[in-house]
Amino acid sequence: MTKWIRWWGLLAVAAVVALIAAVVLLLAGPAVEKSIETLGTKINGALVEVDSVTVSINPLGLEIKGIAVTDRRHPMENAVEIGQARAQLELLPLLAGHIIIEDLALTEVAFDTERSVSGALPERQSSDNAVAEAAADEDAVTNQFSASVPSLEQVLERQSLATDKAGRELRQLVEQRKPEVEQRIAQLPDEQQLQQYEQQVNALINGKIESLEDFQRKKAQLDELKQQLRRDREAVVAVRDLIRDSRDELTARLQQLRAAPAQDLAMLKQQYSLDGQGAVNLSRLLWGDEVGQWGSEALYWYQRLQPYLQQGAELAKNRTAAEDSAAAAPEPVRISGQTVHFPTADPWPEFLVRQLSLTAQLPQGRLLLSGSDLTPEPALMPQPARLTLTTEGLPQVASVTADLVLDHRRTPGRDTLTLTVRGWQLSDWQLHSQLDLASAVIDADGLAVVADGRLTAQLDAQFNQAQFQGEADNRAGKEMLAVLAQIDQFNLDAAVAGTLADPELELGSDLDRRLQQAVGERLRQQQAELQQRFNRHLNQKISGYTDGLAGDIDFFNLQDEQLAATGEQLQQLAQQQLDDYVEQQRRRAEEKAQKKVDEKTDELKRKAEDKLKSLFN
Amino acid sequence: MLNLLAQLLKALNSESAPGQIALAVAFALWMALTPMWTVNNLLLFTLVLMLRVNLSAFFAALAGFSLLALAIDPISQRLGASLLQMTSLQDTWTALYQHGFWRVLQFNNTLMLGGSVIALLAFLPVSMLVRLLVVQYRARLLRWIQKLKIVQALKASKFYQWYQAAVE
Repeated sequence: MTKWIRWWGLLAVAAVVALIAAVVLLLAGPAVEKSIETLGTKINGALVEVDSVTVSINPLGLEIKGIAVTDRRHPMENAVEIGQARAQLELLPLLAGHIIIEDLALTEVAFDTERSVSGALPERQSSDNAVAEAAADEDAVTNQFSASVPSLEQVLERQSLATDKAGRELRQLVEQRKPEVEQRIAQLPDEQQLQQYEQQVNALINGKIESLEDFQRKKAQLDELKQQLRRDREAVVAVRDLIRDSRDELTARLQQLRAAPAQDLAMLKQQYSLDGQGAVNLSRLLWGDEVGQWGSEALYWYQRLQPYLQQGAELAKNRTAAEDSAAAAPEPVRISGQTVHFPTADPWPEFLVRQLSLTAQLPQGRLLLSGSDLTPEPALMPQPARLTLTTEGLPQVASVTADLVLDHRRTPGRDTLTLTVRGWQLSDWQLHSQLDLASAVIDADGLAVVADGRLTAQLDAQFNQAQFQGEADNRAGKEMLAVLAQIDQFNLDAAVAGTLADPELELGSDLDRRLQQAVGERLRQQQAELQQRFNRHLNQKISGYTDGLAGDIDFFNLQDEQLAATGEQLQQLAQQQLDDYVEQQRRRAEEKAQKKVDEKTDELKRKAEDKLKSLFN
Repeated sequence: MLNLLAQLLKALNSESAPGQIALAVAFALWMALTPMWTVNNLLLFTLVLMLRVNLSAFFAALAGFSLLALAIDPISQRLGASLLQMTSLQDTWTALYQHGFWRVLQFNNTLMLGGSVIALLAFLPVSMLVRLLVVQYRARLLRWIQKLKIVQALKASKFYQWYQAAVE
């Protein structure tokens, strides 16, 4: 049997294995360091630096020291700085080309640390632009929230009032149509021109016709003049139509303007929660900015994370597509085959962190983050990725637990964040320029779900041992402060719904109800006053738009009347006829014959009279 | 090409047993039909080094079969895919998939499985055929071949001598 074994071959294999191990020990560290810096910088959009990487064979793993991840928005700060990261790798998957990290422990983690040099990317066309872009992104996200918390003045200034719109449209119509009518009227015949037409017509009709040629010449002139008169009359009719249309539109726009204040009032009532119960949405005014900022920050980081979550779904999709089209795809020189996966409790994606632990000592206390099953190929995993954040030793908070489940095993993915805060001792929270929540102990429970691009979130916070402080310089404010001083317990509910690009924040609190009960009458008075202010404001706007409108309408009416007379005159002139030449000659011959007959009759009559006279004489 | 020819001649004309040459060719076929840089081939190569198979024949055959693999790969891939998708084998594949060792061998790669199946099916016939051919060659053609001028020139070349010394 041993004659089949080549002993030097065995030694050669051992030598090769030893050589590979030596190469890995010497070169893998710098290679990994370079990879982390290059890939990390590309993903982060700002510098990612690593001090050193050490590779160990038994157990197989990496020890990375000094990871600094620049904050893309603030290049002179590190978003995260990790003192030490230890990763324990699995050998078998690594042999098959899969990086499976059994355990990744990050210690000495710090956030928002200062950098000695800027971490902005030098090769970018303009790093400032990148920073500005990042800041703009953040502003855009912030605005999504803050825009939903307007003040009274902001609404009047920023809201698109229907009254304004209708008024502008009315003025625009007048300004557009009036010059148009004036321009068209200027092209019509004036009084002098009409007189000239009349003289020309009379001259042609009443003048003596000398011959047939003279008649025909005059008739042609008259026909030409009539055509001109018809054209002028048609132009008059067209201008009258324009005037009529303008007047109709003006009337319609005026009606719209008159109806607009009612719409605006309804909108303003809704904005200020003056409808229905006459409630004032105090919670929104007091906490809207604060909750909006929290939401903005959370949304910003989620949107930074989202491309990588989607990338996993894309990878899974691409893999399926590649498998489906394996037979149809053009084949390379040496094909590499397709990998088919089977159900297992121990999948091997290309990259996987089975367990993650992070410990950060912040000035406020200790932060512990644990994670599991973090991979860009979630479709292969039997369970979703999970991140859990807890705190220890925070002086102002008894406990905070945030549990984030990133489930992208199927499309669409579903991300769920569960937040629990207990015993948060709050102090000096400025709610308003003249109102502070001096102290309170908060217990809060929150749940946020993002599924198929839609965000649904609910936060319920219970405020205990609350103490309000404030100053008021009017009666209403003093009344409100007196009521608040008696309240030591209340709740606050925040709900966010909508798409990620356009979330809508709603805030509610039983503080509203309690304040309503306490100062209900005062609120109703305020409501009435506010409505009167709105009405005055809108009436002023209407007056501004309708000033001089009566004169404009009179202008159209007057022009219409004048044009009616002009049209009538032109029509009469156009109806004048030149007698036919033959008829005229016949009439003249008849007149001549009649004259002769009359003369003959007179002569015979005279003769008969003379005869009779001679008979009787 | 000269290298390949020299290896072949070295193997055929050596004192190696025909079985060693036949086994080397069969292993070369297996290695050539599967994706090259895999743990599977590393183990195969280790086996080749550890067993007294003829290395010259192995390298010569590996080079030849690698060219052949370009033509056979699509068939291997289709065979592997159909085997991996076969309903009656799903339980087997799933059971193998639960063990890291099998996954490292990449049995779930279509080309690896198809190529391995073809190579294993051909292993014994190829071994026997090659053994037969070697025996027949040595009995009937060896003397005539060795008298050829091109062979004598080749054997006289420095490269052949260097190669012979290196392998022995």
